[in-house]
Amino acid sequence: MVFAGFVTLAVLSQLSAHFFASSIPRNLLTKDASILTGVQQTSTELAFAACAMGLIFAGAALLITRQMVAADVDTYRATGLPSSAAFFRLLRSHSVRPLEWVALAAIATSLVDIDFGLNALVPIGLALAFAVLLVAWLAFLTSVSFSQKGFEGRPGGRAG
Amino acid sequence: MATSTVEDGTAISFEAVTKAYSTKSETVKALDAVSFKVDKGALVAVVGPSGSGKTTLLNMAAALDFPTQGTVKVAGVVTSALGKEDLQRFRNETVGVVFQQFFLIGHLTVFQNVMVPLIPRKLSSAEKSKRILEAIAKVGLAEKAERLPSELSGGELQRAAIARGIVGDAPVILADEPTGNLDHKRGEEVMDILVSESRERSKTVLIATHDLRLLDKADGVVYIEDGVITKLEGRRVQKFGA
Repeated sequence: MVFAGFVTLAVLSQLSAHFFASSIPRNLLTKDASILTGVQQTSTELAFAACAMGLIFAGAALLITRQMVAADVDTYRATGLPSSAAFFRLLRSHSVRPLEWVALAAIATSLVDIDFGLNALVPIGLALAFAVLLVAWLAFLTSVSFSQKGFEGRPGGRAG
Repeated sequence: MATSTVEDGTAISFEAVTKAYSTKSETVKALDAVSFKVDKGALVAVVGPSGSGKTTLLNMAAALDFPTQGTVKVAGVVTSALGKEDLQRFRNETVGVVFQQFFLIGHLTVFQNVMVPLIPRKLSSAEKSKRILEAIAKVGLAEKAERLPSELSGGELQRAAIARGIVGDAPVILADEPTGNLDHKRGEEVMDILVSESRERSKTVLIATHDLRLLDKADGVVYIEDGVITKLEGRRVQKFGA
């Protein structure tokens, strides 16, 4: 949800720049071309800032949910699943929603950008970066769990 | 899978097993020179107060943890000698574990959770579904197969965890406080499921519990305190080497 919000923000910053530029009278633009350049530059900076914020928040969300995902990986390992099966289970079930949002955001933004003649690479790049971040993170958590032989008290704990 | 010569009729054996955990300031022995063996098909209770080492003992038998010293053999296999792939196969095919905290996966339904041990098995989808539905029906959750864990009561979570523990048809079932979250009636029902696994399907069942009411149904009892076995009771659990 947070990530989808930031993709939207990136698109909005592009769209606002587009509408602002369209609303500037032509005689002003021909008089001073630097106005349009300035607007476009600000819009690009805003879009990149939204992307950076989106990735930071997406990273924070992944960190916050780390224990939950790690517990699932441990459960798969304790049940005797190979690491590849555990990884694909995580991708197919646990993370299917974020990946769906990434795909939807990428499609929606590219359609909007194409319609308005804007650069679709920024929001699509953000969506792809998030997908790569998510897959790499799940692969990392899976490999960390499967690199251990035992559980040293997990799952089940030492108590009792 | 690595095998060794374990006496015929023995399903689980602990030979002088010590498990020590080191912290910055001290080394704590969760198990201290624990030795016993359990007959195949027996239902044995491991009894002791909280923190006595029951869970550590079960984790050793499940090859979730390994001894600092000594040998654990389950179904003829020395757990600490297992390589990566054999260890996966052991955890998947040789033991069925019912965890104290359930460890059900939150975004999977009861059906999908119970399916987890069958994922690596080379069975048809129809056979897998049949086994899952049988296990779920056995624990009385047939009507809640499509529910998420968050939609179940404590007793239902316990029974879902048991269904996952028995679905794989493993010869050894290890259950950690399986009645700990249940009232007396539900506790009896859960015990009956585990007893039937032992009596009717010849599974070896090791149960960690501090519920003394369950001892009547057990073939043997291992009493443990501060990581040391204080007493063995019953003919189907004996001192190692006896």
